[in-house]
Amino acid sequence: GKKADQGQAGKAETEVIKLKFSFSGMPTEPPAQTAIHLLDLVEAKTNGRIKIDRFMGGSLGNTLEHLDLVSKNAVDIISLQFDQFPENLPLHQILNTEQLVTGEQAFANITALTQEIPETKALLEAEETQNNIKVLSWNAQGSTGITTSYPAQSLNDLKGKKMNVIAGYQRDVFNELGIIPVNVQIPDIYESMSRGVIDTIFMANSAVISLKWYELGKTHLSLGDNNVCSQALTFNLAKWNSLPADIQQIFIDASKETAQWSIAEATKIQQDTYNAFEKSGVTIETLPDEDRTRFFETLFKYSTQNWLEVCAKKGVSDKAPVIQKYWDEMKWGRWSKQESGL
Amino acid sequence: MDHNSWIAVYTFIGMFGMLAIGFPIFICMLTGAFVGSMIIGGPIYTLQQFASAPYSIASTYTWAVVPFFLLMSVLASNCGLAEAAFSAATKWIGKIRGGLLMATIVAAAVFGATSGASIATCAVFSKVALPELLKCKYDKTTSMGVIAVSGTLDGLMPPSVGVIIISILADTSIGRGLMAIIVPGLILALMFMLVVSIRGWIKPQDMPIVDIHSTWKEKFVVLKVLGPVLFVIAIVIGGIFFGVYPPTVGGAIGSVGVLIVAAYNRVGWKAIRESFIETVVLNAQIFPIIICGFIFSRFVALSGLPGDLLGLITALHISKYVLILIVIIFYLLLGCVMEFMSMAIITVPIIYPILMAVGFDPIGTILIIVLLSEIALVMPPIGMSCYIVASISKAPPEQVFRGIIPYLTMSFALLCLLVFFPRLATWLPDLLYGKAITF
Amino acid sequence: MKDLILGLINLTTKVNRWLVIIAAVGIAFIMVINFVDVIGAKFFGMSVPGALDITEEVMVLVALFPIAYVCLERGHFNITLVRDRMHPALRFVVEIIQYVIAALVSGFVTVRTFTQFQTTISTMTLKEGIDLPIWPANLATVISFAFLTLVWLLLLARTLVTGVEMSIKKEEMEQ
Ligand code: NA
Ligand code: NA
Repeated sequence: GKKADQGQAGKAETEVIKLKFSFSGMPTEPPAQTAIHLLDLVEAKTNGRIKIDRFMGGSLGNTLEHLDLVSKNAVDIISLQFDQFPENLPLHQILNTEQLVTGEQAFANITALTQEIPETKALLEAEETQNNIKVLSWNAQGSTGITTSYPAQSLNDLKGKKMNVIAGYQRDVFNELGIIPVNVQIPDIYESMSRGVIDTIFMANSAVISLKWYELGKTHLSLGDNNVCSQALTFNLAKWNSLPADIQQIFIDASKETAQWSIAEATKIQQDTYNAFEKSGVTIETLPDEDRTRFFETLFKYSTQNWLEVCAKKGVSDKAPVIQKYWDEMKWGRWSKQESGL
Repeated sequence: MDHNSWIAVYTFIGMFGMLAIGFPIFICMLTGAFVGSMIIGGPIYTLQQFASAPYSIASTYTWAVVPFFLLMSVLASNCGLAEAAFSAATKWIGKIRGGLLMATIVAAAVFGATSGASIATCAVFSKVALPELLKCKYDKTTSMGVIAVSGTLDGLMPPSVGVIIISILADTSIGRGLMAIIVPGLILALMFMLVVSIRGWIKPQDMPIVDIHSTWKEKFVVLKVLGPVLFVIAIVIGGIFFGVYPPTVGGAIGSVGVLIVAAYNRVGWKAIRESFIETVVLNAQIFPIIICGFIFSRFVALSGLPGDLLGLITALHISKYVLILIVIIFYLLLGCVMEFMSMAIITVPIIYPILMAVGFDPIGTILIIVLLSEIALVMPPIGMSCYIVASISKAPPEQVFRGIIPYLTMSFALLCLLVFFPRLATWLPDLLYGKAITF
Repeated sequence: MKDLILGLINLTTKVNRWLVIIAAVGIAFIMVINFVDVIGAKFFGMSVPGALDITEEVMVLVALFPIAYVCLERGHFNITLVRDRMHPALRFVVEIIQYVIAALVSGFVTVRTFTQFQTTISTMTLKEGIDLPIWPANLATVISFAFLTLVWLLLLARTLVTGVEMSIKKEEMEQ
């Protein structure tokens, strides 16, 4: 009996669906780890009906080529870095900025905007459809912090010091805080910090271990619980629609499970990062409350301004306020699902 | 191996065939990538790749290091700086047989301490050193060979992009990795110098003794002309060492330095203008290979061949030393057709834990992989460094490949040393950092 | 026929010489940008906004504008060992095949990068963070590969014409 069952099941499931996943970052980076976790889950849950080939480290294309890769279905799934595509996904840009909340809450905020609040969901989905993509799940990066090559305790200690700048609006933030923005590429950061091209690094703590910056720091300035949600697992829309309903459901379930896993993982990485700092003699300081507020006020001011400019350029200024209304509360941790009655 | 991997193998064969009958290298890679991508990835994939890849690879900041250092060296050569440096060197070490080649090796190692990319070193020394070596009647094949392999010293002197990327992939300390390359790098430089003197002894006509008659007075007078040279070296090395700028822009800054010296020496506008033209023409011989190399690497990645080969290796259950031998052969073979760092990103996360499991040294293994990446740069038939030397010297690449043979042997000897005596690599970092801290 | 082709080759060389000069100006420009950026950051507390991005965009034309010129004047890297020892007739055939294949793949790249260029125009894609459009560099890619394709075709024509001429001469001599 058992053998016959297996035979039948085998027949129904002979059609193995092969998918290609691509990511431009290193396989050791947390977004890659999260994607791998999700894809493994899907493969396991579908008993081999789905087989996903993974291409990491930009082996099929640079970061900037990735939207094209997935929207033209050269690959089926990517880990999408939203901030690289403001022209294509203007409304999505704000979701990819700092929130002064825990990973759990940051993730809940994004989920509400993309899946639960009808008016924002409609806007964001329309933008995805325009690009022929389906965003499946987001990735909470964990807290961002500041690592300095000299002893530091407050924002004042950063004045006149050189900090790496990545996003364009960060330049304005740093200038306003009296920090000197310096153009350094991520692969150059290690050498640049060790030789004094920059004095401080502003980046997600999750990058610290893999990029070894604990080897260089004197102090790590914690900014408390804050999160950027980014690098969503993104499907080609047509490919997604062509998947059987049960497979789609498995992907959705797996993405929910993975979200929880990634939040736990981010906490663990945060702890590991602090351990790494301590072991290599880096002091961990927490930025005083008023400094922290000032830092994020400045950051929010320019990230919002920058986003609204992008939206204006792409002719969606009328739509941005619909999202901004929620976001202005969410990013300060002043929004909750219960209170909003969802 | 599955169907796609075999397609990749057939594509290699086709590509080598085209290469052998004299097709331009970048056309061979582009054609191979096109045919292979069509078969494996289908038309949608191929259409997408060929639309976005050329711009996106050409606009990668990391590669700016190539034209910048080319510019610096072309300017240094056309403005007489190189000649000044060599005339001084001749007065001091012209009496030693092969002395100028040894000086080139030492200079390349010192230069390597400022630059993160071997091909930059090759560009600099083919432009700066080779014409002077030829003036002193040194054999061209030998001289080009020495310059091409001296470039590999760059990757073994911090800063080294290779060490940083591979340490990140293998999840080991970058600082230790950078310290660990120094001793093996110096050993390799000494081995190269040893080979030079042995060759000089066997074939003295290849490296004639020059300027036997200079007096001590002349020796010191000539140091005056070194002033401008030292100025430029101080700008480039000092600037990077004291953290004024990252290594990538060292060439751009060095170029400005040379221009300042040129203005001071009243070098004509024509020489300067021609230097800029020559730089972009040389650069345009190199860039299509870089771009098409990446396009081809993407096709190889898509085929899944590296993973398949690794699967075969790990299934073998062989002894420690046979395993490392196969890994070395694996990297050398793929290094012939694939850009090394693309390959490292795919393979190191898989291969490194396997090597750790059979008991290889963590840092020693990083060094082996870095050294292999340097060897891949000079290995025929697609050894980027040799092409650069060939283009600048206006010589056929096969002549450079012939010239490197004795020195390449030394690189392999060092590889063996690192396999059996990883202490060569770990000694210095252990001394500086204490025994390994692991997280 | 031969004169026409040689004339066209001459003209293409002249045009491409100008592309080389633009590339040379380009590298001088990014040299200055990078110099000002690092010196400004180190000594005056100001860096050039988007210095890396400007460099990346200009790099495209620096690297690609001269490729057709290289093809005409020096030739791109190849391994000549075997070809030098080939029988002239065989060499003629191999060269013809090479130019056809090279023109086809270069032409394919031209067409594809042109599509990409159209996309960058229609979405007005900018470099992240600074208002620097990427279409000019994409256009530079198209121009470079278009000229490269043209050059392969001209070289193909030249080889065919000289080859036919030589074989006619040979026949005459044999008679
Ligand atoms: Na180096
Ligand atoms: Na090679």
